[in-house]
Amino acid sequence: MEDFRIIGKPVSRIDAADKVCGHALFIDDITLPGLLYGKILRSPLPHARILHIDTSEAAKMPGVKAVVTAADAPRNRFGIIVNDEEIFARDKVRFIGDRVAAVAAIHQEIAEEALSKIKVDYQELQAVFDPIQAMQTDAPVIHEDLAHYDTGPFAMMFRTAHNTLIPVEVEVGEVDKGFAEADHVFTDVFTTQVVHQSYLEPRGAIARIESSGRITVWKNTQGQFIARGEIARIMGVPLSHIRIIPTEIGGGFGGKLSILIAPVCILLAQKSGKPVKIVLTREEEFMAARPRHAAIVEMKTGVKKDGTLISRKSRTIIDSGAYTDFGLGAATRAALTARGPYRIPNVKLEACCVYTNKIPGGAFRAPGAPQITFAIESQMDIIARHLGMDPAELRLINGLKVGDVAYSGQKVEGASLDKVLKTATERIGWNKPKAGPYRGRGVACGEWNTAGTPATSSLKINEDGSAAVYTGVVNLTGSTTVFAQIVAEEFCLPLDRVTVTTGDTDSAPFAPVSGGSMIAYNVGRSVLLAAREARNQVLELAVQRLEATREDLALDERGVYVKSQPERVISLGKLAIASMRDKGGLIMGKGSAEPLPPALILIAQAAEVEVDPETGQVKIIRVHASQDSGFSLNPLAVEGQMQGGVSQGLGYALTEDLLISNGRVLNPDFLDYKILTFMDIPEIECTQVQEKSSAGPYGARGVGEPPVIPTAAAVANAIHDAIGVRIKELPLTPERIVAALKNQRKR
Amino acid sequence: MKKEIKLQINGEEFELRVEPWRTLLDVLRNELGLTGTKEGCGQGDCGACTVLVNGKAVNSCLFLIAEAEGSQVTTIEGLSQGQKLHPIQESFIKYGAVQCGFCTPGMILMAKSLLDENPQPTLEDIKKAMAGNLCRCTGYQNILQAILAVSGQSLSYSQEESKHGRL
Repeated sequence: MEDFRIIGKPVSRIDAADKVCGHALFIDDITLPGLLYGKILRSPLPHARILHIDTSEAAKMPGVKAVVTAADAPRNRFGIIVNDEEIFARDKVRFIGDRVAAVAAIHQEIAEEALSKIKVDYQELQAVFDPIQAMQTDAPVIHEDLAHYDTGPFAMMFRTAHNTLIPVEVEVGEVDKGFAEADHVFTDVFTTQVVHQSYLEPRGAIARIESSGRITVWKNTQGQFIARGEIARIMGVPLSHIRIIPTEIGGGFGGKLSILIAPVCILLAQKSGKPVKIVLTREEEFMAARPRHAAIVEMKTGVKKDGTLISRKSRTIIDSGAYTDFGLGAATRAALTARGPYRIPNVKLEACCVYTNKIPGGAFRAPGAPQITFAIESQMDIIARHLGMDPAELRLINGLKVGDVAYSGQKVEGASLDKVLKTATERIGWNKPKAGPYRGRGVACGEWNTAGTPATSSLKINEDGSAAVYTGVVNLTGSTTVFAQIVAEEFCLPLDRVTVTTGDTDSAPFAPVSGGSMIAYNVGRSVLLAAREARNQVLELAVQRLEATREDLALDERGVYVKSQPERVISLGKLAIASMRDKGGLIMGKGSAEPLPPALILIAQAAEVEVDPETGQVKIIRVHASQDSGFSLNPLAVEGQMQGGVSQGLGYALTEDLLISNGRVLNPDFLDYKILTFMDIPEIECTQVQEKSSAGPYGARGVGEPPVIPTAAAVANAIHDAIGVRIKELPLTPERIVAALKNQRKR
Repeated sequence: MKKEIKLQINGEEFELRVEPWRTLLDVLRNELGLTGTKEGCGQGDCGACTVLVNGKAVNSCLFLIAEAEGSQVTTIEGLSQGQKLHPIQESFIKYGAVQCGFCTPGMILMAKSLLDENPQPTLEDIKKAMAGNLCRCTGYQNILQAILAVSGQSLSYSQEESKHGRL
């Protein structure tokens, strides 16, 4: 292992000081002169034609400065993957919560009251809430123009059927032949529930129209460049007409990719002539934002009696809700990764994304992966138990090894599945005797693919030798700290002599969205390239100043020195000044290069549980998470991502469920939508298996999403180990466990 | 109908003229520009709005400003002394207890309220006291570490199986 000064060390976040003092400014902390407050009127019906909207009473109210509806909006459809929604529902509403109108007023309370004065005449239509029903040709049509929809910024291939979008399917080998050759064939159906990202900071935006007509938007977005492109298209203006300023973000987890508010603020700002802020209430977040999709997974797997997986056929039905948003992404991933991190020679993997009249789903940490992984990893245990085999052993037999080709087409270069799996089982005490009769242990594996994306970063050296980094990356998971570490490492600077600035779409170089576990891998590399380019200039200048050859120069905390005569040294600050004088400009580095190849991240988690057979309550004793994200640029940050992801995974497994009945969300608050609290959290232990990536900066790979992927399956497997019942629905509630135990006793 | 309300915030005396039914959270953020206290739900379920009123932690989103008459209120802005951070703040930074930072002000004040009353809390004490403060980013582990560290303890789970199955 190389000896690094600061990269690879567990460094505290450089933004933490502002946050512990309450100085960091989030969207709702920002105010502007003349700011108005906006509120959105939402549909009370799941499916209805809009016959007439009368806003006259509302517009007359003192303090109300603008009221807008679809009549005020450009007729441009948008969406992350499929362009199927508009700023306001135009001819009909498709779910309870669909945007119908909005008001801007001088006080929040006036805006709220004005909403109640807007009269909307609806003609209720038959609604459909079940995706299987919605796929039938006699189901009500939710999107009449489906056949004409085109793709959004995250373009994906798809074809359409009744209320359905169908992405590419994966077919390799001959599945039916494989099933014929198998010694055992397993067919199981698994279902998963809707869960909400539950970031503590609700989403919000402020729009201001400049005197030129140009539009400025502040929003807590995960990706200001994607947002700019989309919003420009929605408003029907050139890209350069919009400036998106990303604000400090209070959690995102994928949810703050969707565009739900900014265009409404823009319309209100245009009409009123004043800046307008909208921040969603917690209730609005739960009923009208973009949670994780519910799914039904049909999985049929053929296996030889020695445990070798031969054939798999799977179909995942993603319940999209009223609009596609990231639904097609979840479906595509479910199809592409339904093999899991295993070698299976014959596969036919399908998925579809179905419209229903409910809250649309969106992107939530590894979209599609927890759903498909719950199915894959539960079935692996079903197979293992049937064969009388250790579930860990079954996975080892079939697991991807170095040199195997993963679904992305990439060769597995880092850890084989072995390493992460063995760490997890070892640390959970896989073969140790259990402490009680209702104790159990379960393991589950997972994978994620970090995509290669374009990214540009730049940096300069100041006259005092400090460095300033310019990036477009929204600081979601601690990227600013990692970038500072990279630059500090390359220039032998202390961390507090490096500033990292996240610019807006005018001031920053390009960055991808903060998501997809992409940032450290792609943008980290661009920062490293920028640092190395600047470093070259530094050394060039030093060659002259120190009258030495390039080969004889090195860097340390003092600056650039001559290796053969270390007392001959020149500081970075002096070199920066020399650059100004001799070259008429700053030492500046720019970094971007051909996008990196995708990087596979393998992960395994083991859980130990105790089940109360009377009440069905599950106590999580311990979880061990093992992840290979390559070199850990900041082990403290990686650990934080793993702990947070496992916590979300445990909620997915046991306590979180956005309950929807006849299209209405029944629990739109933190009282009844239960994320884990301090009281629920078990011991979460993490191992960072650091098999270096050949392409990523210092050998790093992506980090953020994988930790949420296999947790639910690990818990389900642990429950089975404890009490011998197999639950195939999430969440694994006490009611389901008690019912399953009753059934078991009957047999 | 505005009313005159006198109170002390972070050691400073205030004479406010506000509608008495407004919440302490609303007054702090929108009247006084003290935006360190956050609104996560507005319903008293998440703890992001936690402030101290006469040393006791309250959900300021449910606390009427009228009730704060004559009280001493501490918000996150009142914790550091100029450049000098409070030990709890230092500890949160050191142990990676801060990710997005939105729950952080409420967490720190809740922790202060606990530690002021019980300077040597057990892990169980901390979990019970903090149960009303939600965090979605960290998984709570490092927050527990940070709070234990202020009291000179460290987070360690017993090696043998715990009787209660949950720590």
